[in-house]
Amino acid sequence: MASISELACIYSALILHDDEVTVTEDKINALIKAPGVNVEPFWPGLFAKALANVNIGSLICNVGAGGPAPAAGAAPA
Amino acid sequence: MRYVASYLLAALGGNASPSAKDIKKILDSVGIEADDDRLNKVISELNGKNIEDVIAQGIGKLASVPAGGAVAVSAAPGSAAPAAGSAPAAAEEKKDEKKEESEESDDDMGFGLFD
Repeated sequence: MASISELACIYSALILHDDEVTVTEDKINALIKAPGVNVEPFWPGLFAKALANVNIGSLICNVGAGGPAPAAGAAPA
Repeated sequence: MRYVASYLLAALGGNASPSAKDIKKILDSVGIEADDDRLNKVISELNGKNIEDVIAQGIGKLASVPAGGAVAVSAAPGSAAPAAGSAPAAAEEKKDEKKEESEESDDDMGFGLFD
């Protein structure tokens, strides 16, 4: 189960992706600041870097099979 | 999808029943537009429901949905959001062509997941 901080970054990334906005650390920070979610400061940067080279749309569509593999691949990167 | 994700984000911030104003504030922070009709529809469907329950139900339904279902980057809890969001998102594309048709498909697809 993802922590609240991770979930906040995830939802932020989804919102940005939905509007085809580049997922950057600043944007994620703006999105979590608006509702006042408490997030450890390193998460937005981590997510922005992890998702920078990832096609979020394909991640969403490849639920079961693709899920764990790209996630594991993105994390060490 | 953005409305569901924003709603969930607002709920994470401790607001159990986010209003349209709360969600617009979130989307405005990154300059993303909000369509009032869609926004109010998502809010009216999710309002008053315990989000954990909704997500739990959504996961069960996701298991039976073939590749068409949408799921988040990380694990289970995030999955219900895109699942609920994929239906309104699909309906959004149709909305450009026929508004009536998209409202029907919202009722059938989107919130059928929450029944």
